[in-house]
Amino acid sequence: MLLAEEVGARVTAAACAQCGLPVPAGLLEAGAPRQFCCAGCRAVHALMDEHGRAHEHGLDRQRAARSSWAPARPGDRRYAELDDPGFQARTCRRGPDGLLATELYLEGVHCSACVWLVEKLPGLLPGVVEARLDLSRSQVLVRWDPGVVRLSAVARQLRALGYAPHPRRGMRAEEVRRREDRVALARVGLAGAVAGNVMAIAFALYGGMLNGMEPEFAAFFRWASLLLALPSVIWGGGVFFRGAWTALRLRALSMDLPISLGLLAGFLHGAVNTVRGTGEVYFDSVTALIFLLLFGRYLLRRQQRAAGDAAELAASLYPSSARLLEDGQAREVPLEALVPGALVEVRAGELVPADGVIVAGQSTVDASLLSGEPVPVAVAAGDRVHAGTLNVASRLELRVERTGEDTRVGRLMTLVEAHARRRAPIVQLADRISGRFVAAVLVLAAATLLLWVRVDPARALDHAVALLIVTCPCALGLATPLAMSAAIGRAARGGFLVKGGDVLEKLTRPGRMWLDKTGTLTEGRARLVRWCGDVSARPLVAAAEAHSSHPLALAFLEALSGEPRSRDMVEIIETHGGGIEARVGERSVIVGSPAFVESRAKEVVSGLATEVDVLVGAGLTPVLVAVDGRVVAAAGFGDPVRGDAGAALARVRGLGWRLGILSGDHARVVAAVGAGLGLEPAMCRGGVSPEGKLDVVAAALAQGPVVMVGDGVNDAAALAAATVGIAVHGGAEAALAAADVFVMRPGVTRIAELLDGSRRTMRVVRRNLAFSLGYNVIGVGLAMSGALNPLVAAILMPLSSLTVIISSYRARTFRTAKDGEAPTCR
Amino acid sequence: MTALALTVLTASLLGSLHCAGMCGGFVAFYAGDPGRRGERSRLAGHLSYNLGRLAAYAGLGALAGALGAALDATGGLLGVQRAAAVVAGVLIVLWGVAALLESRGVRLPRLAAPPAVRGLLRRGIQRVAARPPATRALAIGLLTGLLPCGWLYAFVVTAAGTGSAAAGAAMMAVFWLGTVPVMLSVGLGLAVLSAPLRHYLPTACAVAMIVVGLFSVAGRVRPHDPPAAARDITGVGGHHHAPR
Repeated sequence: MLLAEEVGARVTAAACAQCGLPVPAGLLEAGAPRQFCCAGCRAVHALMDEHGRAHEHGLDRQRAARSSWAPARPGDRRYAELDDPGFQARTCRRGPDGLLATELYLEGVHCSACVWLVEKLPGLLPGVVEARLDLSRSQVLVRWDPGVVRLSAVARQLRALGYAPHPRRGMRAEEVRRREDRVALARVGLAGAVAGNVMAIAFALYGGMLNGMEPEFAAFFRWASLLLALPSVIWGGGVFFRGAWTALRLRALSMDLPISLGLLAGFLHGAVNTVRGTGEVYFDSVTALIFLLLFGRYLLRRQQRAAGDAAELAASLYPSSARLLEDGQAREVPLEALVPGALVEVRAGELVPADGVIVAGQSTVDASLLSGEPVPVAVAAGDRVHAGTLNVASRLELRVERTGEDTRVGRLMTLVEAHARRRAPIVQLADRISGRFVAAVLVLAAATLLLWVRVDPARALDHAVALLIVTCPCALGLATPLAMSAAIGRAARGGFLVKGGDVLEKLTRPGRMWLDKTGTLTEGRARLVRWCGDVSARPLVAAAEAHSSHPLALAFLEALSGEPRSRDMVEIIETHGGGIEARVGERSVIVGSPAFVESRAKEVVSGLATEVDVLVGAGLTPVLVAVDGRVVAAAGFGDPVRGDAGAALARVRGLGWRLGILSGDHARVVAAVGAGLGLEPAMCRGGVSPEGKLDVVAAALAQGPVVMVGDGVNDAAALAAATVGIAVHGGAEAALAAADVFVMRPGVTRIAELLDGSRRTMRVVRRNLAFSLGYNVIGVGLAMSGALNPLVAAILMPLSSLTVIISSYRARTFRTAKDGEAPTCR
Repeated sequence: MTALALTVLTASLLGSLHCAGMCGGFVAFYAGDPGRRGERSRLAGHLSYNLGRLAAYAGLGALAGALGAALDATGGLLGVQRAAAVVAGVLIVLWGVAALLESRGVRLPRLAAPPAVRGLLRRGIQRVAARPPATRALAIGLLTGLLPCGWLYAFVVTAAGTGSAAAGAAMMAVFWLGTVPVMLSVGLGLAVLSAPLRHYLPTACAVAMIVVGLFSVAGRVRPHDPPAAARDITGVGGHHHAPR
């Protein structure tokens, strides 16, 4: 596959025109149009010149093959195209401080040592303010001052560190990623094949040791295993050597260092013994270790990508394929194939695949994902719909406007991920320990060597090598952030959008939790709660309110929907914010607030006079009904508390949180709700403005962690200020802009689930750390006491890291659809 | 013998990465237009090409080995043991050193291939351009033996050093074996070498050649060199030495 940027790069005079390899300096001819690395290439080139068609074809295939190689030397690649203003306008963002920010995909990123290295970029290159690497997606976010350094210089520096950068957007990053995957897989395959063969030879050698083998055969087998092991060590092990070397160049100790030392020591020891003809050879251990390590790493990359990928997060929110309409025929295409302007078909019950405009059909669409409104909205030709919403009623034809990451949902996911790079404190701790761990391992290995040299010199090196191989700080460096990102991925699929691993950690430390009332603890809608008075007036009220769109009218209609409605002619006399006056048949009906009705009605039925006060005292909104001039009924409207609120809050309180309500609603209503839920009266504050809420949260921060649960739009300030802000309402973007967590499904129980999930996540993290420490202590002990053979060590080490990885990914931290609870019940 | 064979194999594997680049064009030429024919005929093309190469290399090896045998015989008359091996070894070491120097920037006088050989190559390719693909592939394979490829000829000289036609052919066959993986990969369109290694390739090849040459000189070359011979003082190996 041609990568445009490489075709555009200049092939410098130092590359042979025929084979592309570097021309030895002694063969360069100044001024010659073409340089060759040897007489053979020159001859071949001349020959092919005389066969024009074949030449072109051959060179094209070579060029295609060559362009998928990186250039011969780091200095060859200037990355000038990154400075192009058009490119920067498309891909770079300017911050308020004048700094530019962009994201680049890096090749060759494979472990947390790489993260450490790349994040040192500001120290290496003046002008770069920040570099943050997302390990799971191999993308670095770079912020730099364009006046001090250019993007191409940043790219060159990254290349010099060993990570070739590519622009993040579009298919190119996909191609590069796929190519990297292919290469990684090929490496694993080679290592596996070599390991298998070397082990077979090792069996023969072991058998020979037991039963006797002629020296020529033994020598042959040893040489054969040496030669077989060579490509595995060079190409497969090269990954680790490069990592260790890169870290050493920057005076850091990375995990690759003990592995590299172990591999080199084992291989060279065996090689020397092979040439000498005596002594043990451990090529089987070395090759088995390389294979297992590479395989583990390969699995890790795939899992990391699956957990943290934006596409994966969003894929749980919108479909991966769409039905493209071409000339009236529908064809299934992958989502990436959609372009703006394409026509797609969305059938009833399907999710909309992209942002667009409806061109045909009419239906209702459930946009609760984005708007927070659970009621489906009617749409018809000309209306806009968004990716991720559900088409409920009937088939729609849609012209695509934005796809993939440009859709509202896609931009949302980008926001989630950008914050997912924030490193939880425990991960930062793990990184710091990593370096010291490696130093300790090296010291212990040297100690083992010295100790055993005195006791049994032949085995001393074997024991030291076994120690280097068996120790594995993987859990520290790798699996802890993995457990976090796996949990975040599961949380997303379970209906919680979490903006970072540190959020989960903070949620495990109980403090004060302030909740908003309307919409959070209550359903957020007015509902008819009490009717006091003449029931025969109800059909008349229903008839009178039938055409009003006032919230209370709608509430009336909802409550009275099961009852028969008066069939008489309705004539609306007056409508008003405070109420409605109508003529139903021959009777006059007045429905409205007490002030409205009392000014128009003449008398009040006995027993209703005090009813208004009773209703207000119960925290309900009073509405009076007058028929033919007499007030016959009083209705109370309330915002009912959610059914699960009581139980859920009890669970949260059980975890150690102090609960309180902050609401803009009337103080008495808030007090009533709080009392019903078992909260302290002092902690139920009503009549609080959004600024007031911010003040309360800010004040409480001084005393410990504060969690604010509320509406993403109205409580934005308080949500942003709290230690953790949980948005449960109000539409996705606004919520995520201010809050750290957005709960996509309604219900107070979700908050309890979120806290439980956080605790389970931290438990997994701690379990991983404990296991890693225990394993290493035991492993070091066994190796130092001489009980460990490098081959056994080679098997144990990847097993330990695989165990940690599997435990991170299989842990049921959050419940997802697969666990039996549908995340999007509506 | 085994030692030399293994060394040759390793060196060949190492240097075959350059073979891909240089002879890749040939691969494209005989493979022709990929869209037109099926997989089976493409595979047949690759097979023919590589078999043609094997034939060419083995032939060169046999020739060189025979030459070496002659040299040995002459040397034996003059009282020099294993002349071919020593001469071959020295030549190769010199070649390797020259390659190293060139890669460091020293200019050395170069020997170009005689134009007659080039003409032969050109005519040969022209003649087969119109033939069916398998024939074309076979012919091209045979013709690559005539290419002025220093790397190839270094190994031919090593084959001469073995001092016997059969051993020489066998050595070249081993060399051929080392080039097959890469040539097949190029034929199948796979990318072959990653960037950082390419930078070191010329140096690595030069060093490999020096090692091969040293092996040759150090006497690990004779086809029937029994490892036990050194310890056997009364057996077959001792009859050359006349009692003093």
